[in-house]
Amino acid sequence: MEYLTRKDEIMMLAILRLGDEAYLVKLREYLNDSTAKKWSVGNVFVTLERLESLGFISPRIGEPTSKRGGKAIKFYRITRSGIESLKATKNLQDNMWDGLTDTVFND
Amino acid sequence: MTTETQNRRKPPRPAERILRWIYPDGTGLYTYLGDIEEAFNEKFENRGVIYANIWYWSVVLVSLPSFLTSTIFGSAAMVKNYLKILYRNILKQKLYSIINITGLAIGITCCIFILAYLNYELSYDRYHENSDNIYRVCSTGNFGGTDFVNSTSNPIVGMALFDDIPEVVNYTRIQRTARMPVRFGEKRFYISRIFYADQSFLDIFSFRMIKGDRTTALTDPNTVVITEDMAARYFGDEDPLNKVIEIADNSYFTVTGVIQNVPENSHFLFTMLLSFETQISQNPQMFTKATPNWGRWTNYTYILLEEGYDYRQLDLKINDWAQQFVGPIKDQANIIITFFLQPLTSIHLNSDLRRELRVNGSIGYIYAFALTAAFILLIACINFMNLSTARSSKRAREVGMRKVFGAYKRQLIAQFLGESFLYTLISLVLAMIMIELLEPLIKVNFNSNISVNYTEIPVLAGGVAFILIFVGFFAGSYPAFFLSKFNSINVLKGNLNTGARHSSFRKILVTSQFAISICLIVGTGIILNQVKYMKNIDLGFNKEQLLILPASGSSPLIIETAKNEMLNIPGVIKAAKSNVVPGRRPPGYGVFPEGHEGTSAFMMEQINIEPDFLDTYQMEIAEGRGFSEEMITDTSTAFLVNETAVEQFGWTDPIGKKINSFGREYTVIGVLKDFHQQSLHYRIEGTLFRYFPHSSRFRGLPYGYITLKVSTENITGTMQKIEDKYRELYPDREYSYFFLDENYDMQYAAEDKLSQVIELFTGLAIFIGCLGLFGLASFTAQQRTREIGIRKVLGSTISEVTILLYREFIILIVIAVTIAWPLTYFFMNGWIQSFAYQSMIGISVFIFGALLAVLIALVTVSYQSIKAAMTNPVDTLRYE
Repeated sequence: MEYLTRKDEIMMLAILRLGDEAYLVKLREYLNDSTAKKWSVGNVFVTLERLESLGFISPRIGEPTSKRGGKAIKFYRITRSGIESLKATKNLQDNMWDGLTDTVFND
Repeated sequence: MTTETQNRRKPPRPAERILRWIYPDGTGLYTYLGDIEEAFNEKFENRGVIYANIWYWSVVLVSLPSFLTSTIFGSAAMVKNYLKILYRNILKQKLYSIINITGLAIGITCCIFILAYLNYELSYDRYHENSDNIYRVCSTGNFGGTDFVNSTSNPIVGMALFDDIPEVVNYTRIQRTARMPVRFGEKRFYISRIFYADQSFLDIFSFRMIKGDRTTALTDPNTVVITEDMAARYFGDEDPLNKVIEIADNSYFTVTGVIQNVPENSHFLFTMLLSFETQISQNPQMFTKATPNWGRWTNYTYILLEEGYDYRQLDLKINDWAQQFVGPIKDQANIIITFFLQPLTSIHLNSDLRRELRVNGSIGYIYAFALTAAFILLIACINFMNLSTARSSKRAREVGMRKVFGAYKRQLIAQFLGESFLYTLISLVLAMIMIELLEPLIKVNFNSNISVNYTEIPVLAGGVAFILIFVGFFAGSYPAFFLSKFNSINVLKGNLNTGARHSSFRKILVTSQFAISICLIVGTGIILNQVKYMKNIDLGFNKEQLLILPASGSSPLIIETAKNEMLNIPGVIKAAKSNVVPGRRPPGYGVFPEGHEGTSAFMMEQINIEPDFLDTYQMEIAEGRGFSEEMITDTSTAFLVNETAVEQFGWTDPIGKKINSFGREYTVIGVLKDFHQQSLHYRIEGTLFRYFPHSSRFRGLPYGYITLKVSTENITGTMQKIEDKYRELYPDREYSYFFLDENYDMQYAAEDKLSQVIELFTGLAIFIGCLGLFGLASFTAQQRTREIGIRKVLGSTISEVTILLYREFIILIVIAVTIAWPLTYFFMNGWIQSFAYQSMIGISVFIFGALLAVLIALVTVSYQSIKAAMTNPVDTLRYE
């Protein structure tokens, strides 16, 4: 099983959290707010494309809207294998942290 | 939401189009573009339209590089492969690579130098903070039937404009003076380029004040601002402020400021600025609007206009406005005068009026240089295209293989374009190295102010980038599109016939190369002819062995003593005084000749001479007699005139005719044959000659130069004696001299420079052209080895085969000649019209140019052709 990078993981968690609203602009807004970092459009786009090509997320094309100059929205959902890799990453994380939390935080 | 606001919310169209192109979407839904547009809308609402637009463009720019590398080339691995193939090709075909790269490098070197030169020429007067709003007021009109366009105006016009027109923010006046002796303590030198200037001169122009108060330095009479050089020369380490210097004997000026040396890229250079107030205080009635005729018309007036005001508007109304002043002048003196404005920054290149403050550049020569540089680059590009396509058969198989393995056409185009960019880049680096090496040489021989500093001169950096892109694309485009078109099946089967199908395009290229070369050769020939013609024409006097001692500002008696002392030196054959020497424009005056009806005066130039002058210069008298010391009236009421003057006056029998000048009547005692007082750019003007006695109390001193005719024997010894004698007579004066012929020929400095540069460029163009031709000839010979082998087996002789190979090129040259001749004639005829006296454009120079081109081409082609013709057919045919 391949582990996710931190950026991929954050992106997938964001998609999960936004649910039906998970598309590039909203994801970027959410990431900007929650990570307190500037995410460029390109950065979000490239990450999404990569996750899509890895099969961790799948796109769904919405209806074209006038708000976007007649262009459709591409929404994202986490796929089964995406969930698997999230689990694996979380497990790894927990295992690695096990017993060290106190050492790190109470030092 | 209204339609209008909807429209305003659209992202910039070209940017969106680029994005659509970069991210093609088969579904036509463009979801990604939608995302960007949504973000754009948000920015638009929060930060405004400008911010949103800039953001949208930045997205496009950020996307481009990765698009170029990934989409076109496919992947980094392919790029590596392309580079490897390129490297192998360069090494495999050393001759072609060297020809390509050196040709391009030479072309680029020329271009960069020309760019640096153009940048310098265009930088004139731009260092002033207000340079875009400063204008010179010039005057034009008609005086006694002669049209004039002067760079000068009068002392009133600036003031009056300032009073009447609200958009004129400020004005200033300059008055030029002759070379004058300037003394401080023991130090006494002749100083030229001393100007009178208003205090506002310091406000309008941004020369840096090093010492003194720039707001008051020139307000008072008898104050002077000097340049750093002058300060160092007269005062060394002392503080020059408030020191008193003596200018032109008995005028005293207080130094109130030290100003930076005037940068060389200025249309005027000065050494000292005397306060204009000095002149006003001496003669106040000359400087008010009530002054009759508006004073002397020898001032240079500059006005500062309001920021953003279009000077053409003022230019349109200035003449109606000026009627109140110039109207009376027209009624009284029959002089029609109008004014016009010149932007400060255009003076250096576009202004060639009478009485310019400096010899200006010429926009025509700038175009000529630029055009030649472009030609050379073009020839180098053509070489590249020629050789790449000629070699295409060698690479056809590679193209075929790539296509079979799935390369897109656009990938192939990108590959070959990329190659040509890399070639250009290598040439560019080579060119920059050559420039580093050649820069000192150019500075010494051409213009010391040219700087090739890429970081300091943005134009240069931009130019280099432009050359890289232009040459890379232009030279690479044809091979790229041509090679990528190959049909892979045909290529791999070996059916490619590049020679016949595309040789016509190559022929066009070679023909245009030749046409350009012939144009340049013939053009150079015509320029050289004209320069030679101007230098060798019979000027009407003998300019050899004339040594000139400038003596302006000295009293007539001092000059007379000096002249007589010089005559005692054994090597000095003759000596004469005059107010000007040939090569300089004499002052002009209005006169009324006998038999002339009407109130308008004739504008005549006047030269003050003495009896020995005609002998010294070996000028000839056409009619009557010259001045004589015995005739007492010669010094008071006699004129000599030249033939042109007689013609202008319409006289048939000039001797004894009267001329009225400044209210006095003079009698014409003789007519001088016409001679060229000035270079052959100018027509011979009607000229009057006067003779002043030694004791003359003439305003402004009648004589300023002593001309000595020296014998050719032991000339250095004679010169030493002249210098010794001068120093003995005037120990406190600076000694200076010049030879008339050198000084006279300096009027042709611009033409000399032009012919030098064009000669060099022509040489380079021919050289690059020959490189290409050599490469092409070797290729053609190679292509036809089998044909040649068969011809020889069937009985052709070596000479027959050689001629066969020559014939192809000869036909091209003949076509090139027919194109080049009329073109050259058209352009060079235009150039030669700018001279008042023109050499004939003979047919011989055209024939010579064409023959030279043919000869060079034949010599270039010969090696390859004869080699091919001499090859033993057994070697070429044994594999068949």
